[in-house]
Amino acid sequence: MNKTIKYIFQFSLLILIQVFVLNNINLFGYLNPYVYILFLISYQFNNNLSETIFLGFLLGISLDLISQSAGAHTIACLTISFLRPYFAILALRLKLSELPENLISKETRLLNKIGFLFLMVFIHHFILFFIIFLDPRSIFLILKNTFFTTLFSIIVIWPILTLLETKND
Amino acid sequence: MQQILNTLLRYKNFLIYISLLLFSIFFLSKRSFFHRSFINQLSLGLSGSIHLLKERTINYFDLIEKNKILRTENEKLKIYELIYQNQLLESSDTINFPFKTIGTKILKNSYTNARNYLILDKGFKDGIYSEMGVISNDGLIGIINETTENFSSAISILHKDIKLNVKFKKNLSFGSLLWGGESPNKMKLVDIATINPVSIGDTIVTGGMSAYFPEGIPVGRVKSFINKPSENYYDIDIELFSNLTQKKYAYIIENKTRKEIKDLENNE
Repeated sequence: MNKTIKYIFQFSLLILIQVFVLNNINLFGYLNPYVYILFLISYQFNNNLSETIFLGFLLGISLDLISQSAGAHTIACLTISFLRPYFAILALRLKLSELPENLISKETRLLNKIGFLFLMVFIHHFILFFIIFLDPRSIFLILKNTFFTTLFSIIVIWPILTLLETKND
Repeated sequence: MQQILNTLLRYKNFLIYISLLLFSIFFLSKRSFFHRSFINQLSLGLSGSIHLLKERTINYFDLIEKNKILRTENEKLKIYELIYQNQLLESSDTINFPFKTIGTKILKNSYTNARNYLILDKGFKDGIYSEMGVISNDGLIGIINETTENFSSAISILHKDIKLNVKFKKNLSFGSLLWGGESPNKMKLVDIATINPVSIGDTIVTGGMSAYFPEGIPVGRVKSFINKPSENYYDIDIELFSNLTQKKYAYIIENKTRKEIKDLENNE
């Protein structure tokens, strides 16, 4: 119960911060960190993938509805919430059944954690920009945006993740 | 049954993902015009290729019939050519005839819905763009709606929201032709004022007030009309010359002066 409240709080806080603060940064005219996917990164692994998929969908559509964007966040969030266990397997080199409930802890090796974080953020951003541009001719623009925004997002997400980690312990 | 259920349960997450993804794409297409037109083009390209495949296989079997139609049409065109050449000798004005035709094949034709569409096998590679008129050997077919590289879709004249500018061949009184959705060879002619005489069997031709079609293409004849004393306009039923349910070939009409006309309209 306690955990549920914690997640609801996290969910709403991240969306509010994303919409009202982070979407207005526009560094160098176009860079905005997408920190709200922190929710999907730090969410527990509890063998209930359907729940995670629904949460990812809910997260994306909430952001799209509040920030008046078309629907790219929904598809990007939905996809990474579906692929999340596979990213974890890839980054941690473990079997699906061996995944720890909480990835973001002192027990996970730093390199593995960064790998997981990078996969989640990069794939999310790539899908996001791909759907926003939706034009094979602007592939360089898509990749450029994805690359720099990923960098920016990870720089912002990493300290928060460390903070969460110390709180969890 | 148990096995199907088990398989479903095994791929439960994937199915949830796919259904939510489809919903998201639907959501996206509802909210953004750009994404909607991209999805439309994608689906047009797909259904165009599928129908092309079907056409290619079926095509072979009714070559004799098609040859016959083409021969009769060519005969008719030859006469027009002669008339045209004859006019050229008399006056030089007709050289500036602003329309050009591009032959095309109809890949898909519908006439049972309230809003019907066709798919044609020419696209922007062949110089087709939206809002070009489409005619057949004996009447109107529709107006180009969207184009991809190799295909284009056209709004059929059998479409509830379309109004065509037409006139009487005998006295040039203008009106609008629209489709009520009843049968594919019946249309309604409205906006003809009762001061103009109308009789059953009168021929209706295109009016030339829109940039889609040249003036004077025969469209149909008056089948019946009602003249209500309280109203100033006739209620006329038209029977089309052309049977739109059996069309295989069409001509797309390019209006070389369309851009000029469009510019003028925009300046108003």
